[in-house]
Amino acid sequence: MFDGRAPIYLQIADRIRTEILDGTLQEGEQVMSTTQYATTYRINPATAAKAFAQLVDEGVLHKRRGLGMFVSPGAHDQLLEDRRSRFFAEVVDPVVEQARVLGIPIQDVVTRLTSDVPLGATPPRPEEEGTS
Amino acid sequence: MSTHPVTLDRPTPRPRAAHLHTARHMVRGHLRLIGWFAVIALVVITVAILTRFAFGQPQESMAQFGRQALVWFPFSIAIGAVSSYLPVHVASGMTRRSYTAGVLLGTAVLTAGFAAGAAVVLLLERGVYQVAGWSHGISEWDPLYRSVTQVHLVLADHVALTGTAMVAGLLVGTTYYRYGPWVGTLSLPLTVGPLVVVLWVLPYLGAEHGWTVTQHLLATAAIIAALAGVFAVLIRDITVSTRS
Amino acid sequence: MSTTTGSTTTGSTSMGVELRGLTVRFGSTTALDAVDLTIPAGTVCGLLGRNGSGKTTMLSVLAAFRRPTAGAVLVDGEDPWENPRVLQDVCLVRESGDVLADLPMRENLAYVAGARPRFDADVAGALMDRFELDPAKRPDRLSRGQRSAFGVVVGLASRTALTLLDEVHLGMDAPSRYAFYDALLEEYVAHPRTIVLSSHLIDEVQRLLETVVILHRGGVLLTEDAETLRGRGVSVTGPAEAVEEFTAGHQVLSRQQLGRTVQAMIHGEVPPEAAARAVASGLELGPVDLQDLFVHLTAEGPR
Repeated sequence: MFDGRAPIYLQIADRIRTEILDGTLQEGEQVMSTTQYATTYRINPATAAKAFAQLVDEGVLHKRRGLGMFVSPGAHDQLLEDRRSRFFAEVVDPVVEQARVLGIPIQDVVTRLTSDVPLGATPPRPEEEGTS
Repeated sequence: MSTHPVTLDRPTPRPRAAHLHTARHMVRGHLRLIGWFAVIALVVITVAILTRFAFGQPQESMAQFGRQALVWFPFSIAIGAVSSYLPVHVASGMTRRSYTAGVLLGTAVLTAGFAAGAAVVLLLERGVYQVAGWSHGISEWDPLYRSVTQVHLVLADHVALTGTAMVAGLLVGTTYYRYGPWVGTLSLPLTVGPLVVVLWVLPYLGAEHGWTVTQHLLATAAIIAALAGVFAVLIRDITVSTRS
Repeated sequence: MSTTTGSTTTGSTSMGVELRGLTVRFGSTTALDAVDLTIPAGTVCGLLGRNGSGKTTMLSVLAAFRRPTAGAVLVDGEDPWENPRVLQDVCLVRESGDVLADLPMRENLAYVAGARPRFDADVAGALMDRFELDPAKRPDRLSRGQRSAFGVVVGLASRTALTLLDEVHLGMDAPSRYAFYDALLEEYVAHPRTIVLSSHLIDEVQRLLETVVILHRGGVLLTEDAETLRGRGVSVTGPAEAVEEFTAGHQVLSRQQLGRTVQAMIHGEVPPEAAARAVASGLELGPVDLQDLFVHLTAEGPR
């Protein structure tokens, strides 16, 4: 909810989710321990543990006694589904809202998204003017 | 950056020995200073003898006049033992009780060392005088001994002087540490007074009333005990200063 | 020599703290006024407060540097005053440093090693290297930052179950401070213990903390889990009326107006539904930095 400077444990949890999504962390692979997290990122180990606990609750990670934390089987697909379901609400809707505030017709946004303009290039300036 | 190996060869004492810990460090910590003191004392005495020799054959001990140094040097060491060892002792997780015990023990050891060292100096001087064929007279009227061959009396005399000086020094250091410079200074008559009594009043009283050596030493011991008692009471609930 | 094994009297390696009605007065000043506080064993606790808020006094009482005027102090369930079992496992490091200033640091470490049952000389040596301290040097020949660093060496290598670090990082330069934070965490995870870190510079230390205690004018303003505390400040930006409506019933720490837009900072929990409604009605919600929260909570004036 509070984007930007969210609590650290949420940021850690997010980082691990992203690593699983982009394949940096494979299913069945061991994740860093809370103590490694603590010393690597200069955070209190309890904070790292809180992030892990959340991911264990979600079924993304599981604990193997005496060994550590591992990425659960199916975690990748689960996260993918979750992120997809939130994609429109979190990514697309703000774009639509911005376009509305700026007076950019939705059609222009769609055109932009479906055109084969390379990402990051300047969009073609609309010929028509004054959308007021 | 090179590595600096930190070697700590001494075994860790159990906490029960906390007083021994600080006593040992207090004695060892001053060894170098005492060494310098001994060197300077020997040089001064030698120069004094040679100077005296220029005016003719010496008739008396020169080292006997060094008794004052036997008072004021240990006195200054004891003053410093409060502000230097008290905070470190408590900060290292040891009690005030063990600090008091440790510092009094350290004081006793240093007193014995000073007393014996000064006796050795007197005997050495007498040896030199004998070889030179001079008479080793004791002209001061207040020492307990009339000749340095009375070694037990020489030692008793030194212990009484240095012991009182050191315990008075501890008290001075404590009043300054605990109450600050004003009260520390204003209470000097009380803290140093007993030392003045031992140095100059007891000899007079003793001479007046014909005290024996034992009586003299008992009176001194009572004064030392009283000073040590007040020291212990002041340390018992002392605050380790938060002034840096 | 490495770790002292089998220290006979020591049990747990972390000691908790409990204060009940702790009051400390110096003459007519009251430094701590009826403080009740619990610091759980095994946590890194941040003791935050402005200068003169009572941080040093509280730590001094915990380490038996001074006696309280009234109230109960319990460290590992016992009064630390003149208590050898507790005190051998409590270490207070102050910025001024309680060392034998005219003896080389090597001898200072030997002194501490003899007094601390868990002292680890290897850790001390490694930390000396890390802070680039030469054991042959005397503390009175060191810069302020180096003295602080030496205090940290003593504090961490002593491995005491309750380690109190009072503003130790203030004199250090940035690289030394980061070396300190790293060393603190490494030592803490390797040998868990209770660490109380007092500071008024919150930005750098906040991530190290598990719990936060804020002292203000001799009292405890709040005790909170650090992560929770971070989530408890909310800044609201938007049209004046909407902001007023949203903040009604909350503790408002600050309020700034720019034209018709108001930015307010509130302290307290905002339920997700309320937050969602606020966002829908055009308000912008954001987190509050712990430092900002602290500054506003401890601002002088009416509270």
